[in-house]
Amino acid sequence: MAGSPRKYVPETEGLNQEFFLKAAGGTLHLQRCDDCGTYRHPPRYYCQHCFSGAWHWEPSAGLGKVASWVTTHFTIDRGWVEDLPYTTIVVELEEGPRLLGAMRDLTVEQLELGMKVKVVGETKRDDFVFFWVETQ
Amino acid sequence: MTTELSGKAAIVGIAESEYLRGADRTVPELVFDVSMRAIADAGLKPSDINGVIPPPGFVSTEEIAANLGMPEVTYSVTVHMGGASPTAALQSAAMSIAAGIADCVLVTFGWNGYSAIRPRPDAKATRRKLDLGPVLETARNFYIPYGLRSAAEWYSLYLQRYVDLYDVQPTDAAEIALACRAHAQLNDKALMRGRPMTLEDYLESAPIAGPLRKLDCCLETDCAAAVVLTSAERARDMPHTPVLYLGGAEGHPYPADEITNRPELLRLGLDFAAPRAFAMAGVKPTDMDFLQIYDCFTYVVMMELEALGICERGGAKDFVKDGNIRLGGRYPLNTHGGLLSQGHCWGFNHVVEATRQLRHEAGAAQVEGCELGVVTGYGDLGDGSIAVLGRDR
Repeated sequence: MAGSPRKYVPETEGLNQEFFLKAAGGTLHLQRCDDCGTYRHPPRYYCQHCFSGAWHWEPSAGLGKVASWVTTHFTIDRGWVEDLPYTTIVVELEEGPRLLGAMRDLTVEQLELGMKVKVVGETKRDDFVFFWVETQ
Repeated sequence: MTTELSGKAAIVGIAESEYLRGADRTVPELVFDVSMRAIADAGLKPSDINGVIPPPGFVSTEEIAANLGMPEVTYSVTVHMGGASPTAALQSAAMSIAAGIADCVLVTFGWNGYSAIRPRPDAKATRRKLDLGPVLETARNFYIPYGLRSAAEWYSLYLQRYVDLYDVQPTDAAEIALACRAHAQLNDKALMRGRPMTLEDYLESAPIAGPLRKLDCCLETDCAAAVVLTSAERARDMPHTPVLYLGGAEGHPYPADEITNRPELLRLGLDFAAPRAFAMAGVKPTDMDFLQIYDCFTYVVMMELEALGICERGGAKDFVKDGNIRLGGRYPLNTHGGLLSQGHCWGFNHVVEATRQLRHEAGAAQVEGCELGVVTGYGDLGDGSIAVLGRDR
């Protein structure tokens, strides 16, 4: 793949950056409300259920089930042209929040709503982690 | 609620540019030109305008006022709702008029939707661009790194669910594309005039993402449009039959900046907005004589029809059948060709066309005797806007 265009790696900031810094440590972490215990993603400053501003990062095993997927056949992103067609999976984590990642070690034909999968992080830069979705 | 806004303001001037794949003029030039023409269409001078709603990006209120000659602007605001902005802006314009803050309001939008992506080899660099604002921060962090860079890919995150849940077939969505293309054949300004489409063309078009084929997607276009609003009273002394702003609303999915964690994945901004707009107008969706629906993608149109309440959830696939949305049918849809076949002007071309229809100046595409119509807008990532418009009696 030498010479092929690089895939986009975002400049992260704020709570999103904190989320990726935590994941770059090797373990996915999700925000959890200190007051009502609700998990949330993407990162937010206040709990959408009890409006508390108190929260902490809680480690997650990244286990969940397939909530939906999209297969892309045409892309305007030069960094992804050589991967076409590629499939992106939305995973509903056991903690509740949904997280999106790229399909790995799976085929579209194998995918079923509700099938058990896990999210595996690949650190692309100290403040950005790319997520793969594989079988448990 | 806010029903006192109903019927207080009217659209009195309209103008649109050509719809081009590669414009000779810059976006500010296109915006200035359509603004001047919309003001003239209303029988006004630029100095009569004291309210300005510019596009989100490209050109400012200050530049519009300075270039056209508006010595005293009393109200300006910019709506940041992506493609829902122009139709949502009508409500801000109507509110400023009803509240006595502004007398005559110019709303304008223009962009280089084609040239920004496919510039000419000799194109000069420009700093002027669309200002999408921080709404896409989630996309930058969580979608784009996965090759989900375009609206087609983002919306497929819920369109796929929609087609699976309601068993919507490509031949169902095709009718939206075919109706828009057929209507475009009547419009001198349509990009796709002279290029009719068959169901075979549609079914053979290349897959893009999720359920979307190429012919489910709207056109990259360079264009601009403008409308002028004033009070209903003053409108009655103007050259054209006033087109009254009877009701309108904006709505946002929740959370609006992120798709995958929405508790109700299929509940879009328009689902929130439409009931408020029809309540304000005091009419029902089934009272509409035509539908100008924001058609970024065919399947989005189907979801919008259901959000309007003109058919049940999952019922759009039957609603669009049997010529119901064609000219001559009960609910002619996108009589100008829409974003799919006229061109993509952020749905402002829908507002212009709705006004032409209600003036009874829509030429070959005229919906005979129409009195009421609806326009919708749709923006990233599912924001919605709506205007219920009526011919003044």
